[in-house]
Amino acid sequence: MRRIGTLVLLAATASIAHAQFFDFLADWSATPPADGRAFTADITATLKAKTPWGEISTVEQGKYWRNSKGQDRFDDSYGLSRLRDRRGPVIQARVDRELRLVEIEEKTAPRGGMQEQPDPWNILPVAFTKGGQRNIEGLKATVRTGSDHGVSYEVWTSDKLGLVLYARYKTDTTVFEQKIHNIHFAELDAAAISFAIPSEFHTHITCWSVSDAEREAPVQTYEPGRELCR
Amino acid sequence: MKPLLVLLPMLGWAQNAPPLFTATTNNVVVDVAVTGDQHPVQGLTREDFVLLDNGHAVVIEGIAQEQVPLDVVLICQVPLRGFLARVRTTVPEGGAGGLLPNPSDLVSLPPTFAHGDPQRLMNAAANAVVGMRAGDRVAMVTYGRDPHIALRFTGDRKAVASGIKRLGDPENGDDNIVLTSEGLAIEYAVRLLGDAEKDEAHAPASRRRLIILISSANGSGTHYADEPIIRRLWDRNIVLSAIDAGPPTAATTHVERSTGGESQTILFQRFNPVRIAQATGGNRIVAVDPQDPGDLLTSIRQRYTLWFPQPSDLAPGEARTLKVDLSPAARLRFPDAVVRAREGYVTH
Repeated sequence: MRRIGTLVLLAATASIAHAQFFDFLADWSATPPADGRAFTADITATLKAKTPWGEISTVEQGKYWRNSKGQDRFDDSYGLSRLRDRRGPVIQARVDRELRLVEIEEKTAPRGGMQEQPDPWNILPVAFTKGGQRNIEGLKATVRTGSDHGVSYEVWTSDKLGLVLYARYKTDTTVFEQKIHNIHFAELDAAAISFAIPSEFHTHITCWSVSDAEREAPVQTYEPGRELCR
Repeated sequence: MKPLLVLLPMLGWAQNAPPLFTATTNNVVVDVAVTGDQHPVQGLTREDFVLLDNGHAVVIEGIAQEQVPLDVVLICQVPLRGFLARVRTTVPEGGAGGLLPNPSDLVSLPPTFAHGDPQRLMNAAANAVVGMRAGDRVAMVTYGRDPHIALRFTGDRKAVASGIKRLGDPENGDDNIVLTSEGLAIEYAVRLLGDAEKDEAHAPASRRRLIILISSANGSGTHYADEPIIRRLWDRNIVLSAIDAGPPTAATTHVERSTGGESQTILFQRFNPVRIAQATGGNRIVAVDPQDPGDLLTSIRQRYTLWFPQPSDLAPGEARTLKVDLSPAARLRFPDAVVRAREGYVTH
């Protein structure tokens, strides 16, 4: 069922956002991006809603790191990290440092090359249309807009970085925006920024295989180690 | 945490209860449910509890077990018209290069997946508040794309029943959903509870506040940052109970049958409302039968109330962890008892 959950997420990555942060790590770049430079960036997510109590506005800040090896890390301000490693089978981990929990999802299906990947924008329920290119933070971004049953979207992506730089959706009463800013290209201090999944935390691993017929009962293990994912 | 100068009137409401509360402006109140063999454990004293504030044991200043009236906000994710059908028709045959599953996988899913079943929703909502008593008040918030106030606070059971019945009206469904709407619906509930407090000067202590969130675990399908919501509820001392109104799956049935621990830990990571419920001391119900959940109100009403002085050197607005358990001696008497309480508070 989680795969379906992922479907819903992907099918609506432009349409469904996290309450506070757009899940840009679930973007389309299962393969390493064309521009593999390391960089750091800030992320700001803003939610504005018209309510019976007037306009409610919330702002959340996060930090993003990418190294030149194909690893990403995103931290919010509540001790949550999301890690992605694309060097082998795609591994995504959600690390809750407060609860000392790790949830790992490992996708075991062989990944085709970039040319074999379908255009993700064509498989979404939302019909996106390209709206030209813009520059943001010194990067060229492709702008796409779309709407679906009362929700309108605008997403700016850097194709080179394989990253959503700006996303916005609107409903009747809500406007959600997330942007990446203060992008700084530089090698990271490996001692300061770790992309490793903490080994001392309680760990739950889910292995996803596209050929796995047991859609609702994926192979799971509660112990560190990935034998089941091979 | 509101000043507890208002706790004394609560005693007036309670029957046969000795005046245990001490009026002070700096107490932290922790409502605690202790259940053994599905029933509340009665007759515990403050010596039967251990309470850790940010990991350090504190002296429990007082304890009470009063069946106070409740303010309850039902939050219901409305059925989503045609949502699954739209997703199904979008995925190309053969899947999407590993990015998405084959549409044939989707065909075998229950038709209610991701877009909700009005009958299950109505049953869950009606059963959850079946324990409503004189003095209790219920309000309702629904959400699809956006939250809406479906019913303002009322003690009229017929009005509540009518509000729940309206959930079954297809016209009250929505066509879409965004993940921010769930968090925003919780904020609506918090504000409704705040409004109710303003209407009654002694409300913070004389009533307990509960949010019951009924949604589909897999309908949302992904994580969102729940910490801001948890802290908001800690700040207002509001319990949130989560009900997954979706049909049982192998995974959720497994979790439902477990006693907690590892299986529920997994679910916490998969379904934000369950994690929020754990953090605020609420009930966590998944894979409900058509007639479940049972009464969720009585277990909230019957909780123990513990309180201790907030450390004096803390700045306002700091989130601190709480952990409540039975003392070793009490644990010997009730080895299988489950203790449920909020896992933190925000300083005032």
